[in-house]
Amino acid sequence: MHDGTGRIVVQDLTKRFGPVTAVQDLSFTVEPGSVTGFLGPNGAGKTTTLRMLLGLVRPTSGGTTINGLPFERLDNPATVVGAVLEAQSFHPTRSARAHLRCFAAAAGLPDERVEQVLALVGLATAANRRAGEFSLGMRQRLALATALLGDPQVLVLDEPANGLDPEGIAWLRTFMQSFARSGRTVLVSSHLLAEVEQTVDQVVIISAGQTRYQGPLENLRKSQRSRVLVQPADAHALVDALREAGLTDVETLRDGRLAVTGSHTKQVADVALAAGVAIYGMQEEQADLERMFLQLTSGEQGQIGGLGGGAA
Amino acid sequence: MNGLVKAEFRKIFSTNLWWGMLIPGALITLAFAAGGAWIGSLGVDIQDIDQQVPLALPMFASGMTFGTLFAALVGVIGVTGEYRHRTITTTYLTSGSRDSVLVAKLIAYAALGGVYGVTSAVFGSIGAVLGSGGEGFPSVVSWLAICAVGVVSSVLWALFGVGLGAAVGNQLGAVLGLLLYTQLVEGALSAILRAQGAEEVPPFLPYTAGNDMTMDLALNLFFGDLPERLADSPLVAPLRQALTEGAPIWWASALIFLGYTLLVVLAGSTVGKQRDIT
Ligand SMILES: Nc1ncnc2c1ncn2[C@@H]1O[C@H](COP(=O)(O)OP(=O)(O)O)[C@@H](O)[C@H]1O
Ligand SMILES: [Mg+2]
Repeated sequence: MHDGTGRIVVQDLTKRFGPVTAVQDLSFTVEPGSVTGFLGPNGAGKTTTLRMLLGLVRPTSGGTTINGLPFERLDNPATVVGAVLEAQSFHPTRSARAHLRCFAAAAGLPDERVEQVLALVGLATAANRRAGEFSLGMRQRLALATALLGDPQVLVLDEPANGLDPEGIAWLRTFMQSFARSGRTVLVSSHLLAEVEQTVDQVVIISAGQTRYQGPLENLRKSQRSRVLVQPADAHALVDALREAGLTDVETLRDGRLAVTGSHTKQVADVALAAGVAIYGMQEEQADLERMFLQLTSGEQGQIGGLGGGAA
Repeated sequence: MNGLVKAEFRKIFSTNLWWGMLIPGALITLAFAAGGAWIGSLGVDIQDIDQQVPLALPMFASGMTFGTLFAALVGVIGVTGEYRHRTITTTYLTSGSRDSVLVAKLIAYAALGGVYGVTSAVFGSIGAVLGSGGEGFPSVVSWLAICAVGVVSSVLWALFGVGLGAAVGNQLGAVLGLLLYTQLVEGALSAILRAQGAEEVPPFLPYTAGNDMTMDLALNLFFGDLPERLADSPLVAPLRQALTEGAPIWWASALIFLGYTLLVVLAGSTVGKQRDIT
């Protein structure tokens, strides 16, 4: 039997599709009680990782567990984990209700459960329509209804916002948060930090198949120190003076300005005045998660040998 | 397991495929049996034979045999449809193991193959009654024997289809493969083998074995049931020799085909477990 913790563990996971390394030595854990964002640019390996977690793709090496067991060893997995995956679909001529009744039977659930999940995702009135006639948003709702059939403890969603209208996204956000607040686990992937920024508490950021950051989103925010952008008359003199003042993290931007990390405008102005360097303009840049995300996920593809093309 | 089988039945009966594939086999069997019965009854007028020639029997059997192709197709299309429409993801997410899904499909499609066989048998019987004008239905024992073997072969072909679909995965590939092999490749292969003097090999090929189990029984019963005057005629003996000597006895063909069915099911299980669902 599984341990009922709701914990997801990914350990040294690697997957190669022929010459393409989709996931390399990926490790992270996801705890219950919060929404965890699984972030990375397109091609980073998110879908492949989630599918390995769900026993759909065989890892080249490493492994994953849900509630302490690999997916294959969960009995009646639908009651432990529900998943809304990319490219998960429906028979075009089968009605939404019939679709759900097929999988309710497979999981040994009563047919009333079908009506419950239909109502829960707001598809009750469209239940007898063929899934092939559904809009992208309705398909996502039907996929979510399917995932929720077994009232699972763990919910895995792969880019669920794709195809949802803003109203649908807001609804999903609330849903995921209340699901997690009831002590259950939510792992949701996205290639856009902004899309999940307001929903998630924890993040796992991957790029080119490897983990770049794992932890609370809040820590990521804090770790990003603000920068001062300054336009001096004499850049060399100011850099020297800054270095003497202990500010070594100075970058020259393309437009000729200097970016001083880990300082604030007052300190930079004082240093410049003491060094006799005229300042033509100065501006403090606040911590920007999106930029942080881009830094974490781009320009580092070269690290993985043999990765065809590269992401982003 | 019960739940998984129930799920497979629900999948089958919630789309149109099952009756779309059921009708052609049933109608073909009806037409064949009616045609055979009608021609068989002509003898009374033309040849002055006082008895029916039980031609309806082998015609009925070949109708049922042809109909098994649709039982195979419903298995192939049903299983590969899960890959084509990507419902296989959900199927695997709601089941304990891939093999239990395959077993559930085998059980459900075996039952469906049985339904196909029984429907063809009923339609064929109606056809024989219509074709002979209600007079001189062939020997009921022989007729029921063909019904029973025809139903068994329909079940086996449906299982064969499930195994093939699971092994191939790609719907177009599996359907084309099945049609090309059964309708073209095996015939050509048999012709080549016979030309090379290896005429004992073709009965061991899957399509031939699958057909022979019903056809060989039907032909033997047919010649056995012939009116005496015809059976003794110098024309019939060599014909009987040519049609029935080549093939192994019907139940041997059935066992050979069962072997092939187990083989493709095993392949479906092995390949299915390795396959990445991306
Ligand atoms: N079935 C497959 N065959 C070959 N390459 C694949 C397959 N699935 C994914 N990949 C490759 O693996 C990498 C990661 O893909 P994916 O997991 O879909 O990334 P993401 O979901 O983060 O966009 C990509 O380079 C992709 O092309
Ligand atoms: Mg993806």
